[in-house]
This record gives sequence, structure tokens and C-alpha cells, in this order.
Amino acid sequence: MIRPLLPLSQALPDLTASILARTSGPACARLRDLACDLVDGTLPPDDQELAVHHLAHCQGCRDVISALEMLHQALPGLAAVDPGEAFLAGVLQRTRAPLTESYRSGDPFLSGWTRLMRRPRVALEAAYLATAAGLILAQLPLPGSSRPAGSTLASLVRTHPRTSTVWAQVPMQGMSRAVHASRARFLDAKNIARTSRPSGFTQRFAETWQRLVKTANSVWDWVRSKARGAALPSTEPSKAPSRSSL
Amino acid sequence: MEPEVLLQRVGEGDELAWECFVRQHQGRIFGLAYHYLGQAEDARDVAQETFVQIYRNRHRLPEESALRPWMLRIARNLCMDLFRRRKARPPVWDIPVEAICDLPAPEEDPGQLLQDQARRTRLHRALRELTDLNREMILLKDIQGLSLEDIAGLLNIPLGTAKSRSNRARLELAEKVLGQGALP
Repeated sequence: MIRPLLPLSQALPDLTASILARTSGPACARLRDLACDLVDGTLPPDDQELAVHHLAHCQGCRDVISALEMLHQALPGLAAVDPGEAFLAGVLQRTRAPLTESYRSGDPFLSGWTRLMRRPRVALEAAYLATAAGLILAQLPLPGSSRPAGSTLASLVRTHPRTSTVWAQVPMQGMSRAVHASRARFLDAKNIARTSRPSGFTQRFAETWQRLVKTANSVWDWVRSKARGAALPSTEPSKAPSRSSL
Repeated sequence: MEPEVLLQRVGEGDELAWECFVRQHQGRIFGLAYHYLGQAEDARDVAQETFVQIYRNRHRLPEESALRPWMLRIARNLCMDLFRRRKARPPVWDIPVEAICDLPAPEEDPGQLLQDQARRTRLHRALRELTDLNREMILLKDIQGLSLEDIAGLLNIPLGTAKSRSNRARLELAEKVLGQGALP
């Protein structure tokens, strides 16, 4: 029995699809690459002709193009949103009174400082500057030494861990004593001399440190003597006058 | 009034011109901030701060053709600063669809608004399904109407990358719209 022939209008697309399936594959992916330019009207004429030819035979791609055209028309309508009645008044208030007072004030330091602090990244910038300053200070030589402070401290920690730890701890102990006990001095220089036993650079550093400590102690003594002199008046009742004075 | 004249008078400090300028651009600036931030209060603050910065720089406003990208850049930078202050970038479009549709577009009559309601809802629903990157491209290119050159400068990416990202985003959005069953 002879199979009936398909009508030509149905047979040809099927033939095209089967040929494409066995050769290059469907051209839909290529059309998707060109779809936006086609909708925008920026496609070269040759490509446009080929795309239109494909669209005439591909319902799926026609739908995509229709959706793109709809988006092209509808999306710009979402750009503006009404912020409400009070928005304009708020903007006008902020751009008149406060600006005229703070930014146009006669004090250039105040207005400059306000402007600086209003910058959104000021915290980040401050942290950056602090880090940079720390790195620069670490590269500066200590007094009496040609080596940078950072490497000196690092080698000190490496070679004399106990000593460097004591140096780090002694100021903290002195501070806590000064805070918690009024009789305590800031630092005890003898402790440093006993524990460090340095030589060379470390000896000079210790001597400098001791001088600093002595100065701090003398200042502390002076402050305490001043504080005693300005002590509060006694609350005890005054003694009765002697009989001879009556 | 011609835009160039308005800009000139804003630069001269004419308060009426400034008010007119704010009225002209507030919807777009607020819309961008709202689409980025997803909260009306934050968007109002950012939009207000944007206008304050524009006012501070009113003596050196760009030309009319470059004005919109310049303003949108300020607004976007402020949105990004807000995200950084929050220390995490939330989804750009994590807004309830109903909340977006409740916000009316300015100068639109109620009948037209009602007619567009369903289409807007479907569009926003499709937009929410996009990735953050594609959504931002749609927001800048197709919604706010920035050119690819402006977007490339704004996002600090090559022009070709901006174009391919934009095409990819549009195609993805079109397929999402189609996936909802029917064209809006």
C-alpha cells in the first residue's frame, strides 16, 4: 500500500527541521544572540533579513521577540516612582537652611570638618591612614640606632622574648597600680634593671627608659604633693578657745 | 523652560528653578533607590541625600545630555554605601510585588494605572526571579535608560561586557515572562 504524501506546506518544514537536526542544529540559539539588536533596530540589514526569515518559521523565537518588544516598551514606565508629598519639602529644607548654616558658615574649619565627617567612607579612610602611619613609624629608626624600629622590635622579641615581654608588661602594671592604689608609683625602675640585663643597644634603651620612668615618678610626686596641699578642709568641729583668751 | 536654561538658573542659585528641578527628577531618583534598596524609607533618605549632593555641586552641573547618568551614578553610589554600612548586600529586589505595585507612577491617571496594574505585577514577578547582576543591568539599561557606555563606566566594566550582560539579562527576563504563561 502506498503511503499518502504529506501536503507540501507541512512536508517542507519537517524536511528543513530534519536536515538542520542532522547538520548544524536548529538556528534558534543564533537568533537569540541577535534578538536584542533586532528589537532595538541595530541589526545589520543582512542579519535582519535572515532573522526575519527564521522567525517566519519558528513560533518559539517569535514569542521571544514579542516578549522582548513588550519589555522594550513597558520597562521604561517603571523608572519613576512617586516618593510622596513630603519628599520635596524635605529636600528643599535640607538644601536651604542647613546648608546655608553649616556649609556656608564663616568658620572654614567647622564647615570643612563637617564636610569631611559626612563622607561615607571616613571610617575606612581613617583605618587606612592609621595603618599607613603605623607602617611608617615601624620603618623609622629608634634614637641611637640606625635600624628601623619594626625590625629592632622584631629581633628583640626573637632574641630576648622574656625581656621584651617584661618591657611590655611593666607599663601596664604601673598603670594599673596608679589607677587602683594612690600610693603606687608609675613604674619601678629597679624591676626593669633587674630583669633585662641588656647590653649594647638594649642597654641604651633601658637607660633611656629609666630616665623616662624617673621623670614620670617625679611628675607623679609633684602632682600628689599638690593634691595634698589642696586637700579638702577638715570636717572636724573647731576646738573651743582657751580660757586665757576669754 | 528649556533644560539648559533650567540648569543654568539652578547653578545661579535660583530657588524656584531648584524646586522645579527636584520635581522633575525626584521620581526617577527615588525609583532607582527604591529598586536597589527595597525599602521606601531608605530610598527616600538616599534620594534626599542625592539631591543634597547635587545641590552642593550645582555650580558644576554637567550638561543636559550627561545629567541623568551623573545623577543616577550619585544615587547608585549612595545605595552601595548604604549596603556597605549594612555590611551585607541584600537582594536588590527583595520587595513584595504588591508593595511595588502600590507605589503609583507620577502623572498617571487612575484608569491607566488600573489597566497597567496586572502587567506591572507580572513584570515585577519576573524581575524578582532574575539574578542580582541581570536585575541591575535591566534596572540601569532598560528601566532607567542609561546608555551602554554610561553603564560600563558606572560598573567599571568593558563596553563589550556591558552589552553582552544586557542582552543576556533581557533574554532571561523575556523567557521568565514567557514562562509565566502569557505575554503581559
